[in-house]
Order: sequence, then structure tokens, then C-alpha cells
Amino acid sequence: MNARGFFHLSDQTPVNKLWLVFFRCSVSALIVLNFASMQADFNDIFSANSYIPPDINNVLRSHLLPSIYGVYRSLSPTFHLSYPTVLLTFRIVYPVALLSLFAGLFTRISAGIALLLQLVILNSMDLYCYGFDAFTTIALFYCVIFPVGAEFSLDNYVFKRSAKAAGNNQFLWVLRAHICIIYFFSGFEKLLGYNWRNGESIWKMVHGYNVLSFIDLDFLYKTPIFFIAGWGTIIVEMFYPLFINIPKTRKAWLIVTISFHVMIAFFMGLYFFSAMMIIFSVTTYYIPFNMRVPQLSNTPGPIPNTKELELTNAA
Amino acid sequence: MANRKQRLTNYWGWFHIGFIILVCCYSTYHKYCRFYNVPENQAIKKTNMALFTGNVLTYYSRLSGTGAGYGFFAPQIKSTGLIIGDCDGNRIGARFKNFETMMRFNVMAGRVTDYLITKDDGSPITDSALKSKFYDLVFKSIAVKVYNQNQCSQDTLHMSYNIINFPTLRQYRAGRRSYQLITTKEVSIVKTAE
Repeated sequence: MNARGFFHLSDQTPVNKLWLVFFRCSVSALIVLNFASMQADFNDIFSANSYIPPDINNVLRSHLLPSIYGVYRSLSPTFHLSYPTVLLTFRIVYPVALLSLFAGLFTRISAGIALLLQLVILNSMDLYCYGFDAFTTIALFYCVIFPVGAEFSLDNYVFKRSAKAAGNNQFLWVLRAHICIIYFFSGFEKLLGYNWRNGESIWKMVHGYNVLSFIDLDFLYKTPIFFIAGWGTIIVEMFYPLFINIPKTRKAWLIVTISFHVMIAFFMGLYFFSAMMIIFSVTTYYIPFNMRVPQLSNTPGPIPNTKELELTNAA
Repeated sequence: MANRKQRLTNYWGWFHIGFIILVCCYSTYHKYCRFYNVPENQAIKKTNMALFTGNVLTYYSRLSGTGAGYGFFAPQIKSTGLIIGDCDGNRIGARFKNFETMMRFNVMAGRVTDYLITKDDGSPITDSALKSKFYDLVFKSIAVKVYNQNQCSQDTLHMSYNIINFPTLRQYRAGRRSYQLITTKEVSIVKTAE
């Protein structure tokens, strides 16, 4: 069996092509929500009056891309723009590009603009970045590469662009492989640290990162719950590539993984990060196999084999 | 034409996945060496530098978000960093209207306190003296912002960068209950007439 066979994908394997629509809409909506959630304190992070002023923060920027401050420095001599004007432009254009991606209007261009702006914004707040931001970049990059605007999009509706099914399975294979690698290495690196194997990391997590401090789990200190939770995390993550690709265990592993992310959101307050990871899992291992959602009529895709469909539904 | 496109997509897919695996392998190895204080094999380090630094792959990794590993909170969970100000005997801190930004501020506090302990922040600044000056500016900027935000009437403000040291599970089982606040750096600012 080759790698694509492992991921149950040949070019003829029937998959529900709504996974691309779901991916585009959910990712763009989540990123817009995340950006909106920062608006009340936006000036405290980006303005000249922020905790770390932009000229100081600019020292840490990656030299591959400019920061917002770098853009301002380059444009101000020619266009006489003030820093707040440049900041406001980013504040408006970025969510507009994301909403355009959500609607599927000039999808690829919108995704490209959103990706570039996101990278510039991240470059301007290096010290404030966490896991969610890395996954935002990954998701937007795939929105540029994948034909996410081929269905249920304004591009499709207004410009009557014909949707091409060819290649959808190839893209799904890449996304699945990437997600499996992410989970495997995330679990493997935890396995290397002895703190995860003896439960100390979970204990530290519920104390240092427990945003819901009213839930006190200290009374469980004599039980092996922290030890089990530590090993549980390692097993769920490391064996994700295996059990999510076995039809008989797929649904169970998906439920376990989603529950795991709900717990992360609940105990660590990483709501956006957890939501993004759930989106990735649902996009790759739930939607494509779920044939009960309506199939797209205008797609000249491969005709599903009834027997294969039944098998996939049973799985 | 369609076949050619499919073939190209296939080649890109294999390249992309191979690239991610390589980056993850090195990231895991690097973290392992750092955690267990093992010196990195120079050949591996040099190969990684040659492959992924200063060439087109650096741009690719940045654009695709694949330039770093995925070992979140691994091999260990770091201690929580806490920035506390003292104004006129009152404990003050950064104020936020939203949970997300507060959490991002805590991420920043963690990274800054982590630098104070390890002196390794993975930043592009290689000169340690310059890095020290940079962080000094960062500490002062945060202190000034907190001072202004809290409308501190006192003309001085003391700011400390701390690590919360909770008893470990083992210590807790042995009877230790109290936590310690370990101060890693203190900054004082004085308001002067302009």
C-alpha cells in the first residue's frame, strides 16, 4: 500500500467535496472572529502607545517580511502617511479580505492578500504570538493553493466558473498527511519529556494555565488521574495518524480528539487554537466521509460507485 | 493539461510533506538536546542551516507556516510568567478588555521571563549585549504603559518579572501546599518633569 492508499485516497475514491467549502468558510470565519476579539485592546498591542512600541518591536521582526511599522517607514516619505493611518488600513483590509474569502469572492486573491497581511501582522507582534497564529498561516496558505472557491462561492455564482473536481483528492491527501504529521510530532515530543510521562505536566498545566481557576482539581492529587491524562495526551496525539486512518476506529478517534481539544479550550483558555484544530480534523476526516450532506450538482466529478459509498458510510 | 496539473500537484504534495517531516525531525531533535542539555551534533545542525536558512526554502517555510515544529507544550510545560507592578503599596498589572489579548499578553510575559532564565529566545538578535539592551527597553516600556494605564499617582513604580513556582505533584503529595513567586527581574521607573 502506498502513502495515498494509507489515507484511503485514489483519484477515483468518492469523497464529499464539501470539505473544501467547509474549510474555506470555517477557517475564514474563525480568523475574523479572532481578529475581532483583539479589537478592544488593539492599540495596546500595535499603536505607538502600546506595551512594546512598534519601533522597539520591529527589532525582533523576521527580515523575510516587513512589519506594519516597516511598511509605514517605507511608505511615509512618499505618501506622507502617519503610522495610525497605516495601522487603520491593516485593521480594515485584513478582515475585508477574510470576509471576501468567506464569501468566495475572488477567492484565491482574497486568500493571498489575507495570508500576506496576516504574516505582516504577526511580524509586528512576534512576542505575542502562539500556536493559533501558526495554524492560521497554514490554513490561509492552503486556501491559496487549494481550489476552495470552486463550490458555493460568489466566484462560482457570479462568474459562472465551472467547478473542477480533478485534484480534490490530491489536496485532501496533502492536508491529511500534514495533520497526521502535526499530531504525531506533537505527541512524540511530549513523550520525550519525562514530565508528561509522570503526570507532572498535566498537574502544572491545571495550576499555571487553568483559566477557570474556580475548578480546583487539587483534591485529585492522590489519584492517578494526572498520570493517566499525561499518557492519554501522548497516546491520542501519537496514534492519531494510525487510528484516524483505520475505518473501524476513525469515528471513535475523531470523537476522542475533538473532546481532547474541548478540554484544552476549557482548561487552558485556548479557544481559538482548539477550534482551529477541530476544524482541521473535521475537514479532513469527517466531511469527506459523510455522504449524507447534499452532494454538489454542478460538479463534473467522478461518478461514485454505490458499493464504495455504502462502505464509506458504514465506516 | 489536466493531467499535467495533477502531476504537478502530486510533485508539490510530496515535496511539501517531505519538507514538513524534515523540519519536524530537526525541531524535535533540537528541543530534545535543549531539554536534556545535550550538545547538538554539528553535522546535523549545519545540514539544517544549509537546507533551511537563507535560501528560497526559508521564504517557503514562512509563507506556508511550515518552518517550525509542532511540539506544543513539549517536552515540558514552562512555568507561568507574571508581571506585577507596585504603586503606592498597591499591586497593579496590565489591564485588558478582552480575554484573547490578555492571553497574548501572558504569552509575551512567559517569553520575556523565559529569556531572563535561559537567555535564549530564538530571536534573530545574535549579539547578547544588544539582546540584553533590547529586553531592557522592553521591560521599561511595559512598566511605563502599566504606570500610565493604572493612573498611578505615585512618582515611582516598581515592576517585577516573576515565575510562579507551584509545588510539583510529588511535593504536593508530600505535604507542600504554598506556592512561591520567584522574581527574575525588577525595574523601577521614576516620573520626572519634561
